[in-house]
Amino acid sequence: MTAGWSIRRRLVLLVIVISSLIIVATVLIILQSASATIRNQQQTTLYMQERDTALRVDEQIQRMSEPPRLLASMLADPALTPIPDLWRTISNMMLDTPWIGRIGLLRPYRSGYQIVQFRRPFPTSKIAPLSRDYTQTIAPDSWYAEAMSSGRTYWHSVIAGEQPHAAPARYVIAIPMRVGDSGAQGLVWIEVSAADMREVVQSTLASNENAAAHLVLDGDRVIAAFGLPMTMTDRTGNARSTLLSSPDFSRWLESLPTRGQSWMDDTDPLSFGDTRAAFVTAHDLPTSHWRMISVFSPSALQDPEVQVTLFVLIVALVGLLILGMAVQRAVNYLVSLPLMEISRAAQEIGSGDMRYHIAHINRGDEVGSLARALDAMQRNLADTYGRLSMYGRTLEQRVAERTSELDMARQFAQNNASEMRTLYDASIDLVSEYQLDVMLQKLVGYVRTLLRAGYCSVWLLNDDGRQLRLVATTPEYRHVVGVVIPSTEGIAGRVVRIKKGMTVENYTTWAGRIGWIMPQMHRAVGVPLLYSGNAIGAVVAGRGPMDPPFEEPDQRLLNLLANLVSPIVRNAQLFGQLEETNQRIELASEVKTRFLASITHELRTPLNLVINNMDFMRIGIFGEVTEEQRERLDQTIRSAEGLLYLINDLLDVSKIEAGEMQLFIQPTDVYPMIVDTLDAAIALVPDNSPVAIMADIPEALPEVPMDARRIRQVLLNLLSNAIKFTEQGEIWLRVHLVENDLEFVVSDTGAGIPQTEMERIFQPFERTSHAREMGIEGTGLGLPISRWLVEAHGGTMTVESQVGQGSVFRFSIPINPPQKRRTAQIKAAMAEETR
Amino acid sequence: MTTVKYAVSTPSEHSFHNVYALAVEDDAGGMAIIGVMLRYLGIKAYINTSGQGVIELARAMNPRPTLILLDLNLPTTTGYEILKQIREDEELKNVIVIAVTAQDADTEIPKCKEAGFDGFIGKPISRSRFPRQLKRILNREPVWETY
Repeated sequence: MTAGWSIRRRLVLLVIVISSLIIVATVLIILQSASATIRNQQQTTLYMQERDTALRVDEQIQRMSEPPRLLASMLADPALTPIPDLWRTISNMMLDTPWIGRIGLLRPYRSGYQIVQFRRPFPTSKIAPLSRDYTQTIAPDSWYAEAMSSGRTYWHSVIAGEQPHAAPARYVIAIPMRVGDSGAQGLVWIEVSAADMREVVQSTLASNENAAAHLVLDGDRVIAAFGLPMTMTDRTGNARSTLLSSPDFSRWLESLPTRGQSWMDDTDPLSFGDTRAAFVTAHDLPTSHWRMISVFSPSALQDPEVQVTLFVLIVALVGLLILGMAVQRAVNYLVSLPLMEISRAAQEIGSGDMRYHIAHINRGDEVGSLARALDAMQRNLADTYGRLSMYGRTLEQRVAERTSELDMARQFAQNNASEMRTLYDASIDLVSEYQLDVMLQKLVGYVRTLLRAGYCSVWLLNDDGRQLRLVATTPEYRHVVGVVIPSTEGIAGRVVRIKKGMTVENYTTWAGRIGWIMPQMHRAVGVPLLYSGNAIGAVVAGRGPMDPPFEEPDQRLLNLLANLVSPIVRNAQLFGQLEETNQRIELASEVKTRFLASITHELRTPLNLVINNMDFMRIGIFGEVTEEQRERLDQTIRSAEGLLYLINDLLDVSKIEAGEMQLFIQPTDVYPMIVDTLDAAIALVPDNSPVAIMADIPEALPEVPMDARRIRQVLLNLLSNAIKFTEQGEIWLRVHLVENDLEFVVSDTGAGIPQTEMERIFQPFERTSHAREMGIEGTGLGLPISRWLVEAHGGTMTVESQVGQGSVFRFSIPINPPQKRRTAQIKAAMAEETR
Repeated sequence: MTTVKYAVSTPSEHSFHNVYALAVEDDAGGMAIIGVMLRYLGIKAYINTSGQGVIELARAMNPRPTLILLDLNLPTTTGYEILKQIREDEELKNVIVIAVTAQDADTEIPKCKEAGFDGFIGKPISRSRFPRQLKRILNREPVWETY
């Protein structure tokens, strides 16, 4: 793995390994000696800290005797303080001091003693419950006697129960006093419950976190124990007994040194739980004569080995780093850098730099000799290389010459090809343009590109051939488009006249010049636009004074382009004329339609008046009319109506002919339409005429798609014809459903139509000979229009007739016109989809 | 199939005694015609002689008009314009409005349908057909007819 490593790296690795070994050995030796000392120092520090804690606990306990001392001083002077005053003071004191469980008072009373005891007030009442007791004597072995005779703060523990080391049930702190002048003995005391005492002690000990456990002992009784696991377990893991009552613990307590000493011990400390204590200290509390024992777990004594090891390791690492870096630098400077420089020199020489300066030639070591060898090689190579490059240059020059010749040839070929290509594209582009303006503009563009001309203009001869008009030119001369010159002037005029191209080398001095149109034009070439041997215009190209004059090929090219576009120009001119004519025709047709529409309106309005007024007159609304007057009126009304029908028919015919007749087909309830038509037909029958109109119409007819107005027109036309040609008898209208058609049949008993005239009656303005002979009014348009309307519905109209017997006209319209139905289906489907 | 003997109907068969009409007609002759026609049928009618004030007159009528007959071609306005005003008027928007005109039916009928007319009767009005046409219009049946 290390085979590919550089010398430097191998050296560094070796140094690191060796120094690591040295450091580890040193650490082990230091550890041995330092460990014991550090441990001792730590123990001493902890011992001192515990002593401070013990003093603080004692101070706290001492402070507990302050309330009874205060009471004692209050009670000392006024011999017998009345109980109510005392009561209030004590109640307040107890409320302020939560750890006082009870306050007691023993004082002389008459010949004996009075004992008053106050219990803690309930939080709601604020008044301490009290009990009073009287006794003649005090037993000399009672704690009262002992306290009174002690003359100082008396500590007393009330023991309850048989547990050997269990804490007392409560503590009494008593202050003896002398009451009044008699100097009789009295006593004030407070009682503190075990729990409250424990809490007071704990409040001080809580701040000490060094020790794993604290024991506060009164002799061999445990007043408070903190941090100790309170149960001991046997080997099976079952709880056996509390620690305090275990024989092991008792033995341990008994083995402790006697009271009145502070000491520390780490020789055979206590085991508690699973952990063995590392270290124990004991301190006496001067006030209560209690003793505080602190137990330390092994973790309290920070393991010096770990500390030292950490320190040493850090030092070792830093040392290693520094050492490694130093070695690397040294090796770098001594070996790597020179070697790299020489290696680089070799590379430079290899890539052809024969003058590259080689360093370290003067060094005496291996690097120096390597450099010198390289230097010798460089000089040899430089010699050879010089000779080679001389040959190379000659060769290069020849190749370059040949290449440039080839390039020129290729360029030439390419230019030719691209010119051809452009010309081809131009012709395709021009020929495919059908808008004259655009095409001419394109032509100008191509002329400029292909002829490298600065200016180009296209001229067209007017219709009379006497003027030339500028129709297209280069964009900067756009403002002169539209100018007109006499067809004899300028180069354009000249080429039009001579019908072939010409080139002018110096246009400014040319005799026929028109200077004001394109003043910058110095060189000019012009060709005519020829169409079937006639000039129709000219194309002129120009260049500025600095440009070379036009040559023969330029003129040929321009001629080619002109020949290409001239038929297109001619066609466009003709097409333009055609378009103009078409527009005129369309306008005329529109005028005609408008005229017809307005004339109809203008004619109908007075006819409305005439027909209706005469009708009212006829039926006597404006006064009595005689028989003769009524007949005249009838006649006049009929001819006025005839005029109206004629107008309607003419309008219809003109619409049909113009292809403007539109049908508004929609589903229609047929019955009302028929009834309405019959109404109109009956009105046509002259009064007292022996003609009866009969109808045979099925009650249930489907809705049929039709233009109701137009079908009514057809029906009314047939009925009115029947009425006109029938002198007597019955006219029948029969309506049937025949398969998919609705069939209307109008039959009469009139004059009939000769076989020869059967087809003619459907031609416009053709009438039967009978009608003409009899002078029966009619336009000759009704039947053609009717047939057209029926056929436009997709139906048919036929006639059967016998002269003298009558005629039968039938027409039918489809109930489901195929085309319409398909549309309807599509619409329904779409509606379905969108829903 | 049943056969029906068809008979001519007379004006008396049609009763219009609860119909109140307003006709708008600028031409003096046409005005007279429509007035006579409506009176002949027993319809109480007012005639407005120009396009102006149609809405005001219709509102002033008591009872309100059942139907309005509108000429399309009026001196300063059109029937379409008046129809629009009628349809925008809260009180009149449901009145039946019929175009009565001598204009070409082919061009006007589609426009009238689009504009929202309830029917179309081409001039000249036919005395014999007009009662039935009116009856059908009042029954809300489609009537788009010329002479």
